[in-house]
Amino acid sequence: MRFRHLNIGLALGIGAVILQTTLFNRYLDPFGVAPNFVLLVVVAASYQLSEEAAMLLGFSAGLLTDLLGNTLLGVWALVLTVAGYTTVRIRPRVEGNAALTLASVFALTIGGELLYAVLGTLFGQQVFSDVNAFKKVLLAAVYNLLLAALVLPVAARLMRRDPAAGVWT
Amino acid sequence: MLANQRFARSTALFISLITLSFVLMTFDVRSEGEGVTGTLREGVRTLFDPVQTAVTAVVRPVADAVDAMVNLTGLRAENDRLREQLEDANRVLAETESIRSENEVLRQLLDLELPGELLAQSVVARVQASGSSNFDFSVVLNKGADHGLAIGQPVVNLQGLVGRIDAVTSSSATVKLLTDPDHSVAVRLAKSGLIGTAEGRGAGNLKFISSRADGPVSEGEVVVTFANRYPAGLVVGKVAESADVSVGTGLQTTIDPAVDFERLDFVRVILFLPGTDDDAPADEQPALEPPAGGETP
Repeated sequence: MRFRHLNIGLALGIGAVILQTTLFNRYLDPFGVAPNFVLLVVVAASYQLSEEAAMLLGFSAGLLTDLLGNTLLGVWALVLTVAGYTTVRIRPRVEGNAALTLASVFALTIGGELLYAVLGTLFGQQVFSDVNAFKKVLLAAVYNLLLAALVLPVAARLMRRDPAAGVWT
Repeated sequence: MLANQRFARSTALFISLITLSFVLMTFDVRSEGEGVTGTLREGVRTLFDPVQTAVTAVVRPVADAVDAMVNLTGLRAENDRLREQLEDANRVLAETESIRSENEVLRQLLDLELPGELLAQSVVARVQASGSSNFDFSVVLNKGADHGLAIGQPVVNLQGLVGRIDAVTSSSATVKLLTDPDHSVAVRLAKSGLIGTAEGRGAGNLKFISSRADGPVSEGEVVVTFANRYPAGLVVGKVAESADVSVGTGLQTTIDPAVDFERLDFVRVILFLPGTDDDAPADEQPALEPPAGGETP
């Protein structure tokens, strides 16, 4: 039971990375910007996971994003670890309030993309040379906000917590 | 007590994962994508290639159908615009016929291969996946080392230069696009002969920089590659705005790329191996080097 939710989360994370590279970044990118679907799935799953499981999910999904993409190895792993950890930390404050939950997705996407940009720049990538850097950060957050209305309930249904267990598994 | 232990455990895990991420980043930067990280990437990409291919096979027809419906009105306008462009092009073609024959003689003198000849030594591939984020300016092709592809080879489509191969597995290859801010290409303005560097800006136009300019450049002038990493003469785009030399900064303007990077599908990988792998811009590399002969597939 303890690892079941993490396994489902990992399966969702892998599926999200595949969809990000084959569907979203290729076809579903209005105005040249795609939603950050992997980050959204990590956040959605983290609302249902323990702190450790959320971080492991974030790290694994991020590492796979780095390996399949052409980005610096470890940068998305770090960003999504932080996203998973932060989601679990803010969960008690936003749980039960749909508006706050959606706002948290928006803020976490902006925070995640900015963290990526800063880390990339620190490690010699020319992220801020992208003339559309801020547009990309903002639009990705808007798209994630819209998609969250669909993804959050699906993740909650697939990974429903066991209230009797008393702990996040 | 239990809560404290839990908190300490999760904090320790958080710090460990962050540290591990930093180690991976440092290692990747230092090894420049080679070594263990390169092998790891290659292994994972080989593993996920079939999955990406399968998902793309399902997604592509649906996406194309939706795209066609959405763009039906736009296609009519595009058709009219292309018709006008064709008429213009035919006129320009007639005007440049004499220049072309002169150019051919000059090329032979310089011992350069014509792009047409290079295209014969090439492999057609299809884009099967894109980069993993909005800041990842790459696409994955469905052909790899088994088809003769190697790192550094230029990739073109019918419009012009797309980018170059940045990583290969046996069955796939990653192309670093021209729009990548970390990517620069030595270029030459076809008419004035001015040499400079075209740099990616993430999206839209490329940046053109030349420290050798001694006069203005005009909007619409065709920009082509200039030896070294790429064979000479591949179309990069057109000068987007006229500009003149500024004291201290040389000449800076933008290039409207010939390729529509939003909708890449079929591309051609030229089996050309760069003579040098020097990063120095064209301004500092004045010597024209004849491209090495490519292998046939």
